[in-house]
Amino acid sequence: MRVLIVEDEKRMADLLKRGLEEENHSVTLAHDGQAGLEMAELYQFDAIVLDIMLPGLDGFEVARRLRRNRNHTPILILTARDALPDVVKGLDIGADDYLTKPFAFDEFLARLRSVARRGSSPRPTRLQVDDLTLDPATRQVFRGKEEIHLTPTEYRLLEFLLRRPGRVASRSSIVEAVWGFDQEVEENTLDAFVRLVRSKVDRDFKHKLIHTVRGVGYTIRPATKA
Amino acid sequence: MKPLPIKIRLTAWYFAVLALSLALFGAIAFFSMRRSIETTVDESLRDRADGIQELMEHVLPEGTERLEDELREHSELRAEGDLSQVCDQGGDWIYRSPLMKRYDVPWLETSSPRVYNLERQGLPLRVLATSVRFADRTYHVQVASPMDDFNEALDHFRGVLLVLIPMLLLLASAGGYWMSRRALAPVLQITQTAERIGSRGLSSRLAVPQSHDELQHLSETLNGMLERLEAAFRRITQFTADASHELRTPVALMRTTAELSLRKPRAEADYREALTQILRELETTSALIEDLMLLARADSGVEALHFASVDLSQTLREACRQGRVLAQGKQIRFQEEIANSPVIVEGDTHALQRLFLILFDNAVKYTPAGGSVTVSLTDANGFAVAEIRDTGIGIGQAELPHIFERFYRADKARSREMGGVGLGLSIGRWIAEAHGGVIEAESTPGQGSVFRVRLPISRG
Repeated sequence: MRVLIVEDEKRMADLLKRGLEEENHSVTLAHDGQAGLEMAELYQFDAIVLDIMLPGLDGFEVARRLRRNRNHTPILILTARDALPDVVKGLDIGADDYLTKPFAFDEFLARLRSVARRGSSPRPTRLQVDDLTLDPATRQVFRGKEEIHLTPTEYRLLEFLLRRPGRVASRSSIVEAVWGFDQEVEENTLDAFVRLVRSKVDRDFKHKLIHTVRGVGYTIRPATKA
Repeated sequence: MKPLPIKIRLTAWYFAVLALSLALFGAIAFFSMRRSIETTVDESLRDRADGIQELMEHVLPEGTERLEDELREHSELRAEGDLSQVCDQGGDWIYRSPLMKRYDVPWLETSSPRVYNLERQGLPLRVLATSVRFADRTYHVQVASPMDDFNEALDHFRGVLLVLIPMLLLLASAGGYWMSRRALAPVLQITQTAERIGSRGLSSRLAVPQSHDELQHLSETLNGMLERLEAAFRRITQFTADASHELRTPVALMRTTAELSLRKPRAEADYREALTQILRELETTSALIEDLMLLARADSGVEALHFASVDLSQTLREACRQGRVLAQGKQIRFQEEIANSPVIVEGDTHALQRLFLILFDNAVKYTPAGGSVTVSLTDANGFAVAEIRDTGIGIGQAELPHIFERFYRADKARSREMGGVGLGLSIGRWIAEAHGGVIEAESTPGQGSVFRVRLPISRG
């Protein structure tokens, strides 16, 4: 596979390149954040190995910009920074895995294969349909620039629908997902909650996103397709 | 035994002091009241005795016979309860008022007037005994006053004191307890906040009461301490994070180098190359660990310097010998402008040499081939000033204030390739400051930097 290594420590970069090439991968090196970002946007890679402490743009910023530009090349962060907040930040920004130095080379290879399997299909950190976005990391919901405040149940309901945009979710599957398998919940209750969510998400907006599918359940889809 | 809380102890002390003062007050009030009653009674007794004496001196020249009548008349002029008696020196009664007779007060021989207390048939009496001399004969006169009313009043007063004082004491102690609780309530609050701070990290602060008193001062003092603790804690956390990062990087390099060479059989030259790499990395890592240990010892105050009178010009010249070798390796001109006259400072020769070497190393590292490094030593205002001037790449204005911070490197990537880890200048600053001196840097990017070490010249 084709791997981009963004690493400012040249000897480490050379070692990784040599090791990966011996495994029959083709490797491109970038020694700072800016160069890494440009390479990643210019060429198609199967995976990016990204250091955090880089001169100029740091690794977090490179990952953030790539994801913002809808580049979903799998990213494996490889860094000496092992503090928990760094790991969480890296993964929430949109990196796919996080490995700290020093590491076992076999583990590095396995993780690289693992992230590469995800391919470059969109894996946005935020769920989005039209101008409705939900960020699972912060549990914030926005319609356009306006933040929408939901109760926990309403949030679970909306998240369930947003994870299946354009697909119809049956009433029973929604009830199971939102209230759990062992809860006896009347379908009237579900309808009531959908009304509540609609009143917050759809009522004051021109384009309605949540739709009722008669006899089946509900779906969420962009207004333009309707 | 667990000591009692302050508010209880305060109240107990308050109670004890108050009890003592009130008891003292009660006793003094009681006795001075009795004293003043007795004085009044004694005065009236003396007046009456004087009256009788006057009468006797008036009547006696006319004979003893009339004396009894005159005395009775005199006695009966007073209110009916008169208590007076007169006897001659043989103890024979000349006159006895009826009450005196009833209570049968014995006569008393005395040369000078005397007052005493007596109790007859349950009645307390205060008696004044005196004597009247006339024509070689001595007559004994006694006047008395019943004390029952006065004693009753005194008893009543004592009773009031005995009830009132404990009541006052209880009331005041309760008040004292309430006040000490009130006064100490902010202390409790401070304690609770301080406990929360312990569990929630050092970033919260005590609420400062705007009371302009000791408690406000205490809160502010504690907050100041927290401020310094937090800063120190942050420095340590940062230092630990940096140190761990700096150690992880070479360890990762060594590990990956070793793992890669072992993945498949390789030519001997490849192994040799890998081992050389690992060795080189080990050397930098050892140097880093040495530096870390030195700084850790310096921080904990364990690293001791051996101060003696040192000729700084000689120390600097010796350091320059090594500096020249460094410079020659990079084709950099190394100039010395050091006078031969000695410049004496109190210092540790090895530490000072280390300081100069750090600065030479730094200057050579950031100066391109063909440039120059100039070392000079002057004295100004009681300070020896060693200056290391280079024609290197310089330091940006934004970075200049940070270069003495641990692990600070303007350009991390480049610096690592040159073998630096960002601790040299921190160690240099520690050495300069341990000598009571300062180290400072000036720089123009693209033209070069000047590092200046000022050490106080020793007088003596």
